[in-house]
Amino acid sequence: MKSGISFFNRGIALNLLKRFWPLWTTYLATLLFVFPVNILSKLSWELNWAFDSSAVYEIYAVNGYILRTGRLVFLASFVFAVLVAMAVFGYLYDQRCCGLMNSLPLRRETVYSTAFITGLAPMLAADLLVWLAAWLVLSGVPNVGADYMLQWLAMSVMSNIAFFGMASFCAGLTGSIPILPALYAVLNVAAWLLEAAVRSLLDVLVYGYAYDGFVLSWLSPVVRLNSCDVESEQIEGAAEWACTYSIPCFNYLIGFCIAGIVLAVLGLLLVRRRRMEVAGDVVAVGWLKPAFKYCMAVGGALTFACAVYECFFNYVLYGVPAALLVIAMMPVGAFIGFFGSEMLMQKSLHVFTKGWKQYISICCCLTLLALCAEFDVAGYEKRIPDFDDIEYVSVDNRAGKETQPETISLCRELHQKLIDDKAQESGVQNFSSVPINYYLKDGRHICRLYKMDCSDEKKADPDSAVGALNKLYNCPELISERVCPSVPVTKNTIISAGIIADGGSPEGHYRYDTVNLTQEQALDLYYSCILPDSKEGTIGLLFCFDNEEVLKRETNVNIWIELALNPRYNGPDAYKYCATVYVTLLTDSSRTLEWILGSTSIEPMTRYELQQLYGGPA
Amino acid sequence: MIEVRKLCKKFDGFAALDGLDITVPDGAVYGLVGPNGAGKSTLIRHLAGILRQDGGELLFDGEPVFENPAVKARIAYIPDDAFYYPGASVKDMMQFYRRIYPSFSSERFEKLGGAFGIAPERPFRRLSKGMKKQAAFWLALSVCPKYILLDEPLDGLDPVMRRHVMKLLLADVAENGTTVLVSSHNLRELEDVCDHVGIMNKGRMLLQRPLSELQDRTVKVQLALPEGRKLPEGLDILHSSVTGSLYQLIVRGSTGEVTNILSTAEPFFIDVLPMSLEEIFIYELGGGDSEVRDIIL
Repeated sequence: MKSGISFFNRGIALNLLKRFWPLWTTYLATLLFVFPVNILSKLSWELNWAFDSSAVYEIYAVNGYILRTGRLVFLASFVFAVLVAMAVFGYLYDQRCCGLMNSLPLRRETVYSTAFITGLAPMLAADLLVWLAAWLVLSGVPNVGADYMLQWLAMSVMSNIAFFGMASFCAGLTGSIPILPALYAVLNVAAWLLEAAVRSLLDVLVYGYAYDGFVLSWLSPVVRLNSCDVESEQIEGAAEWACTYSIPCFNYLIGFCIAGIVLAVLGLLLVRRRRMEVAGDVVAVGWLKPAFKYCMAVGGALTFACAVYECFFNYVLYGVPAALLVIAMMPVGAFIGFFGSEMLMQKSLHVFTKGWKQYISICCCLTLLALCAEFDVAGYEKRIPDFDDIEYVSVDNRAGKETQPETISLCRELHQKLIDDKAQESGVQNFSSVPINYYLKDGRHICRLYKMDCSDEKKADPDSAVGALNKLYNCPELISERVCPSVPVTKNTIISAGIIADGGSPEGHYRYDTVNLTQEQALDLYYSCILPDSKEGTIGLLFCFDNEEVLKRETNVNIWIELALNPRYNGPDAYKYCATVYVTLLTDSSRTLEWILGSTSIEPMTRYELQQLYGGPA
Repeated sequence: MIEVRKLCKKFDGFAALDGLDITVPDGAVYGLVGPNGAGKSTLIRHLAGILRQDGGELLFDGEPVFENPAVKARIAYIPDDAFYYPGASVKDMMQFYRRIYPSFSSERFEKLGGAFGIAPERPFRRLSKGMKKQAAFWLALSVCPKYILLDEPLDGLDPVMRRHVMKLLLADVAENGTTVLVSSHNLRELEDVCDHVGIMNKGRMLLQRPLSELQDRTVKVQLALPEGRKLPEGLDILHSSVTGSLYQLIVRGSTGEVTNILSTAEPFFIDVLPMSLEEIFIYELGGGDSEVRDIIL
């Protein structure tokens, strides 16, 4: 009669604790350093200036500091989870140890769950101890929020459960202890890495390919959590420095924690089914061996081709030659991945006598996909959304929102010209990157990124893509955006303003003259000169090229007005509430030119005149 | 009783065990013999519950052993190369076993300490191979098991310690009815202790018998006949060698039967000689069959 299943054995647990206590102690020390010691040292430094108003802000910001240690906590969990897993599940990887453990009167579930609980519990205990220590350390600091402290504890506990669950799952997949951390690291970054490789290759193969962020990074926990930054928001009606803080990835962490528990259970099922004679094998689950080979082959193909292109041929090869290179490198990478994995599994270098059919079939599939991308089987390259489907466009990296029909039409015109230039892509030497973003009425976002030929010939042709971009940049809507920022120009919002004239000198040195403006002067200049001139299209323009006509029109004078909704707010997200008006004076910016000549000592010169005087680029 | 029926096991397509049958009665000291690669260790690891079989059954008193803590609690297993945790001492392993095995006896452990003469606090890494093997026996016997599985147990032990260890084992058998299964590739080693013997090769059992049954079935005699006298009829001779008038015969049958028949030839003398286990098996399996001879020698 079989005995009932228990999930914990004291003997195994005490044995593991006795042998590996330095690991958990090191984790505790690391966490103490990451959290209370780190914050204390930061606050001590800031509190040296305690009677300065900015230090008062820092004390309010202690809650933000608490949450910002999250990244280090995630990193510590990531590292220590796998180290602990290697320790407590080490019995799976040595034939003799495996023999000992499996000859004991214990079920495999009992041994696994005991190892899991014994591995995780001290880490969670360390989290609690450090949290209590932090309370002690921060007990004298005002405005420490209990909810922030609880969030910290929750982050630490959840990341430990999540990462350790993942490490336990990896422990069940392999029979070789060096492979466990490698597999764990790969699983943590694989999705992101592969997506990066695929997108990089599509960038080579597909003309105009662009993407809006990584879609699969949520499958790479360490990447996702590492990119998680604390967000702050000013509290309305409270003191000027008072903010609330939040971690945008908290919900993700909850999901990851649940996934970690699921993975731990899967690890248990793997170990329960596992044959103990696989101790020492790279892949412990028989049916996963072919999957491992294929994954290594595909991963090797993509990453090798991507690496070769990015390291040696980026900025050198474009278009068809680049595509041919990439397609040629993929079989090489597939070879390394496929037969390399076979070598790992067989633990032998003599693996080339079989497996060629599978290898060749993988290469053929990848080559076919690459050719489909290169020859635009899906019609991606030629696609321009219909005018009526577009809600707004954005044409540079400012994340602007252009809604006017004229702007949208100009954008589509530019897009068509760029598509028409595809044939010349491989010969482009002098290029500029042009992003185009369509935001459709149905919620979809279509983005493209082109290398626009900026040769002299193209710059001189008003019907070229350069000409079309120039028309777009200088349409009324975009001029208005440059001149009328999101922060209104008022006496209360102006932080600084000035006029700068740059240029050369007879000695060949670069020099500039700056005139700072008062708020009154800035307001006068802006409302009586800049705004009317912009409506006439004589200021606020942006030229994509600098031919003689442009050089004779643009001067060496630039005007800036820095604005902030709340000039006294200096929080970490203060940039959200700031804007800048920055315009270049043109020869036909009549009102602005008159104002400058009448109110300052600056004598504007055209860039053409500067070039004639001092030579070199204006 | 240990029963194994049609046990099969493959490793990467290689059949390590191929329909193996074996029965070990309660209280027996069963010697498992076979050449290198016969599958002895694989069988024992199945019996210890380490490996899961591809086919067949392994039963201890009618209960399967795999993933059965109740059965495994009654088994002590000493592999040919035992594992101990790095840095552990005999005492540490004793404490480990004591927490795991319900029948572990600390009193017995203390009592056996005198017999082995190893300091319990000494780390295993400081012990010689033979001393590690002694410690393995020490711990195994302290578990007070009903079954002891030994894989090449006497490797590394000096002759004095071999005898000492086997004596302890046999005392356990006599006192507690412990069933012992011991594997070796050397029949001579097992001769003095086993009462059952089985020969394995290529994953199969070639032959298994109680030793007494074998000894009763075969007789080795030496006799001298008068000149011109022939051996009488009615003898099942497995092997004979003649030097002049001196005959050395291996005959199937009991001692009494054989000597009675030979007496009818009025030999000058008849001597019944002791047969080694090795000789019994060689001639039992066909008198010099090369496969068996190779196995045993």
